[in-house]
Amino acid sequence: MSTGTLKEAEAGRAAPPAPAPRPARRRFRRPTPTGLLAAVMTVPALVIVGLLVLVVYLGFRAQGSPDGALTLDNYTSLFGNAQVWEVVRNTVIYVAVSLVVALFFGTALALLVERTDFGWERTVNTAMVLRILIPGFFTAMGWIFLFHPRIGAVNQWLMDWFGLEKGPVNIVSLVGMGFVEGLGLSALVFVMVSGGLRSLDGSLEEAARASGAGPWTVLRRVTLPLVYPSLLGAGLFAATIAISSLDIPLIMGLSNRVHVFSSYLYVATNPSTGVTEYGVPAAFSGVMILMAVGFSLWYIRSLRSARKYQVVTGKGYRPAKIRLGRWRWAAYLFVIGYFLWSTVLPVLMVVWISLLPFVQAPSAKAMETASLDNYANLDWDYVLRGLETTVKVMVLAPTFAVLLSLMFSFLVVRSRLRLRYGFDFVAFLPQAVPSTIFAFGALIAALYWTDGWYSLYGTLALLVGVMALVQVAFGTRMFNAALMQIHVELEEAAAMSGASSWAAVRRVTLPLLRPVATYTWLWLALLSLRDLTVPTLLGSQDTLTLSVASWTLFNSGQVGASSAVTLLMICFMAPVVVVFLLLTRGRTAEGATKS
Amino acid sequence: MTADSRPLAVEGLHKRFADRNTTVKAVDDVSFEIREGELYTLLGPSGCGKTSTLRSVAGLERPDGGRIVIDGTVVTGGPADAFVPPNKRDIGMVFQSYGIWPHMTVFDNAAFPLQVAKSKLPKKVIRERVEQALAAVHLAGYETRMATRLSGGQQQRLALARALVRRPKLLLLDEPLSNLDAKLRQAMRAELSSLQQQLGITALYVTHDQAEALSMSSRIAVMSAGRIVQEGSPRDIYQRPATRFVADFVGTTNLLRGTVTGGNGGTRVRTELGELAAPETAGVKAGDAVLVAVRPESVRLHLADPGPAPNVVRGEVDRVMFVGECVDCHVRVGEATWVTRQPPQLTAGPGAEAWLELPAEALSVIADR
Amino acid sequence: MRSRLFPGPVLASLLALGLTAACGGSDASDDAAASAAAAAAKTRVAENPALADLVAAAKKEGALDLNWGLHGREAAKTLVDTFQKAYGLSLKVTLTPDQNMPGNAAKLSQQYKAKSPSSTDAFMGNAELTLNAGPKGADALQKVDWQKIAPWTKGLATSDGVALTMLDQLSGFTYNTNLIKDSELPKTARDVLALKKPVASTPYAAQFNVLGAKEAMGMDGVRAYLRDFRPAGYFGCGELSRLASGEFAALWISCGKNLAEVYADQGAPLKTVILKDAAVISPWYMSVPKNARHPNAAKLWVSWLTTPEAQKLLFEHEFADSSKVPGSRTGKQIQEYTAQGVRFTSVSYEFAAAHPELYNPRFKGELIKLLTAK
Repeated sequence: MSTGTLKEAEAGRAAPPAPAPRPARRRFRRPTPTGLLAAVMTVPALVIVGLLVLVVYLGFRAQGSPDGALTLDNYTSLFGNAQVWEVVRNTVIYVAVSLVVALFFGTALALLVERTDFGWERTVNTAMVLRILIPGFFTAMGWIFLFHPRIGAVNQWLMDWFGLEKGPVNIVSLVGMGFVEGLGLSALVFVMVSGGLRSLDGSLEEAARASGAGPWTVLRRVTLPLVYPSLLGAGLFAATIAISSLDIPLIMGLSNRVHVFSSYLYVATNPSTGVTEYGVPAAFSGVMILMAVGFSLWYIRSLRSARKYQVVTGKGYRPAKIRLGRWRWAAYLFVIGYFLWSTVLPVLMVVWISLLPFVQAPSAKAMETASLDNYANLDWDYVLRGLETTVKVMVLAPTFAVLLSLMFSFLVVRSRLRLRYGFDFVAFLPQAVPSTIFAFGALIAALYWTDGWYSLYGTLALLVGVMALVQVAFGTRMFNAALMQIHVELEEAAAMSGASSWAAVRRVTLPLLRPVATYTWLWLALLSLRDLTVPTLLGSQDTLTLSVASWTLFNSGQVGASSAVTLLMICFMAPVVVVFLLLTRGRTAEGATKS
Repeated sequence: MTADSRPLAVEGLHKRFADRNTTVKAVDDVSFEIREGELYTLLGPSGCGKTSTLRSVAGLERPDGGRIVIDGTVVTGGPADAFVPPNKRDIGMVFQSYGIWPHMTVFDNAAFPLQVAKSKLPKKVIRERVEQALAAVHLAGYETRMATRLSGGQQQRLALARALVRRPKLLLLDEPLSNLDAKLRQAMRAELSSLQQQLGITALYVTHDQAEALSMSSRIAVMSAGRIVQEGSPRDIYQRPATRFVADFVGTTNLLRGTVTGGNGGTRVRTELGELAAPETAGVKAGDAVLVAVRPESVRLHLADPGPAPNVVRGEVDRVMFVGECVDCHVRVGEATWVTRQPPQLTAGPGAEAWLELPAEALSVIADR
Repeated sequence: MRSRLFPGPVLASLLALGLTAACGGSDASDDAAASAAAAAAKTRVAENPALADLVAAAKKEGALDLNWGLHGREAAKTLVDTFQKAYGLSLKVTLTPDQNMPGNAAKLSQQYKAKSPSSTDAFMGNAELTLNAGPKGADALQKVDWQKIAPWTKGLATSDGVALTMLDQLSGFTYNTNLIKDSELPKTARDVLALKKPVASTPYAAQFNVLGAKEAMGMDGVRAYLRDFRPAGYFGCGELSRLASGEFAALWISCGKNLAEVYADQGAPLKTVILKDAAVISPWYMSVPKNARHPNAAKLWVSWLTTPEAQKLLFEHEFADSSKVPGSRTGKQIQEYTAQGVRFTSVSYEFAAAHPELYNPRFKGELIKLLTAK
């Protein structure tokens, strides 16, 4: 007898379903802003799809060359090779260990910072961002000096103390590699999961606490299931980075007879004959693309069903923090231990190596040879060239990526086009497909189909373009979430106030998105700085980045010079990052998810 | 006055949504007109199409058919199949969630419509008009405050100021009071109503709250399943519900099934409780199955037999609920339980015998289809 | 929290040191070498109008892009600087010390196939890579009449005129002197198998294929050998720091003893022994890609590298020169080893052309598999 008993969602509210087909009597109309946007965004979307299609196609060509003969040989030799199965098995174990480590440390730290009274929120956030500046190959090096079965210092102590024959810990194994890679990726997981935690309606967790659940049960039954989309996204992102990263597999794996996907591709594409043989790698990549597409479909589906009950209030309400009480010391131990092992020791290692004429384990004897020669002898032309490109790439790629991601997200979240799911899927693909594959496709496309004045091969434009496209995945994830939290009525109110679509976007939506945009930009800039995969594959002399410069030196035995370059890079970037974080204080970490 | 020169005329509005494989008719042939200075309310439960209608008028949604004319301008449909985008319609709107921009101050929020206007206004004029608008909603002095630091009621008033600041021809209100607590809601009802009358604003108001609709509206259109089922003054709607749905939805109603036996200066209806006299009702004739509806406050309760009188039914007090200004006395009559509203002095307790007198003029007869 | 590790003053002094060093430049002996080179070049230019034209053309091009990775500290830079001084050039040299020779070769043939300009003006490669990039392979290298522009290159060019030899690397068993005692050192390839120390190898089975030559082990001999050889790990020839740090005790086969000498010069405990039955001389060649952006500067550069002055600098910084150039110190080393009974297989351009079976990707792949997949 009373009102309000009808519970069905009112049609046409926040997320209206696609409209029914319009009667045919409609005549041609001026294109709507969304239609125009869709038309524009078709271009990058087609590029992403095109690059992947190209790689699959190359898998069916002899030697993976566009002018090679059509053949199935690449696939038969791929699957006929027993080593491939070993590589697949190794890759699975390595990625699994990386994921477990990254998700555990990233999530644990995020929970500690967001849900307990641990404090140090800003410090941990800043340190996590700065962590990304340390190249993986130095972390790998540092861990080798600590836990290598023969030369690892910790192993040697343990052997001395307990009179062991062999070093008890072997870091240069699949599990060790996964562990080191996972530590590196935990920063990424931390950022994504703490973002998810911040946007979560705290009352849901308080309700669980009020129902008599202990903190552990609340975490397991309510908090983690609710941040499941963030966890899933972070996990997927971390997994593809682990698959495509080359430094740790080369330094820790290859030198110890362990092949994973990236080092296998590296050895296969770098035959000592100097003749390019991309056939089998392309075929391998084809299989990976297929898996990635399947995985993305599953991910987007499961995310959509997860969103059904995802509660977003946009009020940024956080539940009362859990008091650590007498467990505080354990939390301190955990956080300090984490930073010590994942950040401080690797950096100290870099410092140490940069002072030596050649690589030596820390010892008093080695100390005698320490000097600043590596800095004195640096080829500054080379370093400055790297710095210049790096600065350009760091500014251009994230900017371009943020713009593209914004437009993709607008289409996906705000338009009612049927195609919007297609756009979402395409924008997500670079997250699921290792960037090696995109870079490879872009390399071939630029080599064979651009020349003369529009030649892209070896240009900064190509490098920036491909990096930006790869980064769109991360960008769209951030902006999709952010846009969904900006109530449509905020934009509609602008329209009702007489603002045109563009004015509404410019004066209302963009300012509201700014915290997320700055934060995303910063992350992408740091990832650009650090990226080795795309610049090594696409780079030329003119587009040498600092990280590639350091890696090239590292690879040619000049480890001291390489570490000097890396330290200069860290010294140069760390203040920039800190200043950036200070300037955008309260708008970045805090506001990243608020509307 | 022709239809096209009214502040708002909606004709034959249609809006469909695809839901999986079926098509839902959200708005199914809705037509109405609003007169100058009127507050016209679309009242109905969730999903009845009232919000889709409002959003179509606003231009936030594009209807599949029909014509919308605002102050003589065809904004949707018509022979040219026009569609004027929302920002070019001469309207103001208050949203359910207020849509107050959290990154702006109170002043900036209210000034926004003037700042983005096609014809640029001098800063001074903008300031004056914003101050006027804020003063009208009792927000003077809050100009420099961040909008997020206002209370719910203040945000609501700011939303109103923003909607009014450019003096639109038509004000649209989408459940503006539903996010406020009960007491504030009541206060805002009065405030909004008096402001509307003072300023002579023409408004289209959407709500599911019948009390809001009845107290504020000039006219009400009750909607159900995408159609307007009854249009009329609040009094008409309440006292003469045209359908069972309206009777049920608007207020509390006791319903009794019966058959028309005849009419002579009134309608006589035979029910299982005996024959009742009701006012003359158009559209029903002898033999028709009908429902007799009576509001709780119209029922007179006697604790002693009032003697032979027309329209008296006997029952037994089931439960008495004290609600402050009155008591709701539930009386079991046959199989059904009737709700009656009585003065708080009522002494009867459960189990007491009661006689219900149903004044003929308070009964409405509804065709039972 | 990291920035605390680098207090401001230290950082500043680090930077300052680096900057002064960058401006400071080469030492006295290099300066002397430069003036000697300038004098010698002046005479040569005066005697040879073709060379004078080339210098003029190089000046006009004004730039030189080099993907050119030597191992000696400052080696590449010193050579480039001396080259500029010798001919009085002020080319804008873009030097990338990329030592991935196979990678550079692959890039070159790819760029040539795709009709893009080459990213390096001069290509450095071993016999196999040069052969594959040359007329018998990708055909990306220019045939140059070296004698006309540089009469001193007589006998240094490949028979088809595509490349000039630059230096010879001697492959051997490079080891950490702290980990392997002199008494334990292997004398033959078989001895390595008996060694109970972590011996690494290259992931691409460097040099093993050429040991398949009849005069060395023979193809089946190499296969059998690799079946018995189980390295403790893999790293590239350039990563001798893995040996210096003690992570591995030795690298077998290491690409060149000169690479270890570069490290030893810095104090690293590295040495190389040349094994009697598995010794390889691997010449490195310089050539000019057909799609080079600055071909004249490149020709001038490549031919200059074979001058006695350049060879001297090469030996000083890279510890290797070309045994074909008179007065070669590497040549002298080879003579001494031969006198001790070492049998070298010289894998020159011509050798590579004559033994396609040893360079067959299938054979090499087979060896890589034998070496790595156990």
